[in-house]
Amino acid sequence: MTIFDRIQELAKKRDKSLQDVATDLGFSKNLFYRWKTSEPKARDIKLVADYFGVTTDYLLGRTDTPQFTAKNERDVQKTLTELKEGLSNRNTIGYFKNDGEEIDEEDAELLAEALDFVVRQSKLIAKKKFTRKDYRKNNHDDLTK
Amino acid sequence: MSKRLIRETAHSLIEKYETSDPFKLADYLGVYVFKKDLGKNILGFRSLLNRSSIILLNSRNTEEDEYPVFIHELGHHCCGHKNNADKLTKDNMRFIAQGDEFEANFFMVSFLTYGANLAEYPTKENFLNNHGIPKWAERYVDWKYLEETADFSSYDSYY
Repeated sequence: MTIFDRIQELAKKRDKSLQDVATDLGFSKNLFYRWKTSEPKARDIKLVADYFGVTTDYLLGRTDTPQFTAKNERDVQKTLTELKEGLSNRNTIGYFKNDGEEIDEEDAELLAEALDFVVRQSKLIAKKKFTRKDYRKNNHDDLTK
Repeated sequence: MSKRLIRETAHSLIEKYETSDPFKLADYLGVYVFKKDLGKNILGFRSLLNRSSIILLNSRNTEEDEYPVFIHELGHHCCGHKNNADKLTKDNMRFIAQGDEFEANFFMVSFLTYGANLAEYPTKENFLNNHGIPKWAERYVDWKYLEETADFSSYDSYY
């Protein structure tokens, strides 16, 4: 996903057109469309991220969860592979090792999806729960909403 | 954990928070509950990642299924189990003599039989039905303890 797609999606969620967002931020009307072909400035990305309340890494397409930075995404991927392959004892799940239990493809897919959700959600909760109060930015802690 | 300790944990939680509604109890205990489609076989699982306890329930569950499943997963939390993805599947619903699954199942039965008086029921089957204990969990019921605590002088007693 490119930065343009992300901004379009976020603007749609708030029922705003791209021009409205641009004028709100004091940009020229068609700046976002220009970002399709040219690289945006870091200063502008920061303004957009603050406007939507997401991280810059989300805008740049490095993670699929709005509240996560690239480092968080790395942690999530690491836990997920551990869960699936059973590398560490702590995070083993019986299903993917197939120990005596058969599971069909559709269910396996749903389970993988659920695991992805759980890992992201728990990371999000932990971020809120174990961050100092004066460092907290936004209070969304539910991925289902 | 021993049977006695699990039973005491279950009962003291009900007394402390003055509710036998597991969903309210989860709220008080800081357990997060979500619903998601988990396929045909899995009824729910509990995970402990990043020091936060999450219970995921299958959205395909029927209402009567969900209640015992949820208490089972809450049992994993209350017994302090450390392993991830403790799950209850449909093939899994049978008697397991020891281990984490046993503890969670025993917690479930203890939770459901809180304040029960065996003398008030004519048959064991009647007792199980009345407390919403599923058929597969019958062997987890601690009859010996229930017989000891049965109050024969109660008004509703059959004896």
